[in-house]
Amino acid sequence: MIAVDLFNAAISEVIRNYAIVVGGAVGLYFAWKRVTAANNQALSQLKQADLAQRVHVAELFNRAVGQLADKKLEVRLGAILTLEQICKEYPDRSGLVIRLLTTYLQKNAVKYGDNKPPTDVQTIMDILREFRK
Amino acid sequence: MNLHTATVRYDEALDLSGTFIRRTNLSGVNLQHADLSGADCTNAVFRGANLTNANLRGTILKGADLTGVVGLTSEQLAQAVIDNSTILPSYLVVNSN
Repeated sequence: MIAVDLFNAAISEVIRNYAIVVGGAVGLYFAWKRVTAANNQALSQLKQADLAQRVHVAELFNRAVGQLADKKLEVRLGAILTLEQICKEYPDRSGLVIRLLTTYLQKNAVKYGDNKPPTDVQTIMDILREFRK
Repeated sequence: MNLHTATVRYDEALDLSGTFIRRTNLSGVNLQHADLSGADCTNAVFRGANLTNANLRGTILKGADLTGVVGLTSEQLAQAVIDNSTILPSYLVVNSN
């Protein structure tokens, strides 16, 4: 009888140990799932923020493109300064902005003779000096 | 031009062909491979600019200040329009003949 009791006790111990291991594994699995879900959520929020930023820059850019065609110098200058700000805040967009500004110089060239260059032309040159060193 | 789809390299060569940029200041600007053909750069300042392989065909450089420019060759200069008031970099000498 004693031998049977010892055997049963050993079996119970083994089962208990297995249960602890399995329980731990299940706990780890759910913890991992929770961490993964939290990471995915954080990643998704980052992507949304990045997308919102891109949309914002695209809106600024598109508005500036429209304003560059305005007849008033101050409106065009405002657009150029907005584009300069885009270059500063989003350097990866500077190539595109500079291409737009050089196209502006080509298409909207005002022949100002030997006078001082108009403010819009001077500001574009300031941008070139700053971002195309 | 669409900002979402456009991809422009930071160092893409500048296209200033045909522009009217008299008396402007392009000092220190990287103009490598830039297209300045037909541009009117009269009295413009290019001090220290990099003009390596820039296209200067028909570029008006009368009175322009080219002091310290990098990469300018006599071949490029021969294609440009210069006069006695053009200030050349020290390494280039114009043959007056």
